[in-house]
Amino acid sequence: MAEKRKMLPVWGVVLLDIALTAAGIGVYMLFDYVMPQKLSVKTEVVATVDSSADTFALPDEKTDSQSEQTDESETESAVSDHDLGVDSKASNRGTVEPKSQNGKRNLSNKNTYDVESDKNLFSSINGEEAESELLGTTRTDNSVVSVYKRSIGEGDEKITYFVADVYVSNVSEIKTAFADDSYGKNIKDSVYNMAVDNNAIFAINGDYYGNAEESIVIRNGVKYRDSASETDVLVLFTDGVMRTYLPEEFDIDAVIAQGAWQAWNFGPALLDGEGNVLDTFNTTSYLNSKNPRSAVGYVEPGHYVFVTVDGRDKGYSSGATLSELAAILSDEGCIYGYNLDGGKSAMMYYDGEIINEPDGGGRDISDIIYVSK
Amino acid sequence: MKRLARLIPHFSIALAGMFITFWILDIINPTMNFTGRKLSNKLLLVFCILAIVTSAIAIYYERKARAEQYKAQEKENEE
Repeated sequence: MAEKRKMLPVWGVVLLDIALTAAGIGVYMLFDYVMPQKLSVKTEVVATVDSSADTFALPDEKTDSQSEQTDESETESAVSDHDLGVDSKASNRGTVEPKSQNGKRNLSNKNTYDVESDKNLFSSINGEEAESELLGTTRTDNSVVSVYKRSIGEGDEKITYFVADVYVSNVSEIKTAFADDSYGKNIKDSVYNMAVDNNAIFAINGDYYGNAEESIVIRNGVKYRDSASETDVLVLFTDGVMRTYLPEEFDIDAVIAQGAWQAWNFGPALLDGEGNVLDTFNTTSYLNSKNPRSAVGYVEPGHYVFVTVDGRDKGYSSGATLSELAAILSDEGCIYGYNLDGGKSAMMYYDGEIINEPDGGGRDISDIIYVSK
Repeated sequence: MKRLARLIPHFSIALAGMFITFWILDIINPTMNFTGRKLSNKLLLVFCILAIVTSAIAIYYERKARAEQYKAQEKENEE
């Protein structure tokens, strides 16, 4: 009888088990997401670039209004250049077939998730005149970076985003940096600190590689990790060509053989290689919702577009779905587009400050993409 | 030992709860890949061991109870 009095009631046992589960998850998160762990990996230099060579011509100095124009004919020429192959390497790119011409994807991997894109959003963004403000242009011997603040829509539907139009004379100008200059798990720093430490003109958050145990990590010609995940891969080659790969078509050896300078593994890919929004995205519907986002777009070798969309602040910017983000990149003249880490990570640095309004003030992340002074 | 035997099922429930949470989180955001992480792999091993121990304890007590029941029945029959 005395022992029965000591026994917890059933609801007490249930509560205790729930508390135990919560504590278990908390300890797991502490070990897996908070504690920094430097990883000693066998790195391998897979590509080198002669940084002194001027491979791509920088645009002439133009007036702001001229540079702000998105000339359709320019876009078309970029697409055709890509199709013809800007050089022999580019035309011979990949042992895998490019995505089909109509943007349809053939996902045979049962572990991937497909979300249909919304072409109506695409046409509404393309048809709409965005309010645009040039925040500045920085020209160095090796790069020209023009940054714009643009907004589309009104009221609760308003989307505010920042576009960095980047021209480089050499692919080595598109650099990446790790937090604390160290490759590892949970090693984090702010985009601002990483940009300042690396003397950047412009920087944007990367793919937060440190949050994943399996992904492709090739940075500045060095391979750190080659365990493919089930998400799309973006590769920037030494010849300045950039393209996206489905997980099942990605061949690490093939892309290394072709000169992979940078590789990111987050995604999904947004455009089909011809500037059209993909019919489906390799992601879940949850991840397709309106959110702050960062993305990288490819126009032609030496010409790249980086976009950061603010979000979760109705009236200023509601955030973008992947379809909207794809439409923005397409509208900027990109033929390939790729979603980087978003949410609180979505941050853009330019000329000594974070220029967007990150959700909750942003968060520390593991890597950035930048152009240095 | 008895105390440990009492606690083990609760640890099993906690681990099961954790894996159900991870599974749901992975559906929402597959890039997080909670269930595929190295730590999760180790926890899965612990969960399996705990499941075996819990089951063994449950079987032991069930058999003990049945044996006592048979004994009691035999005693009744003898009487």
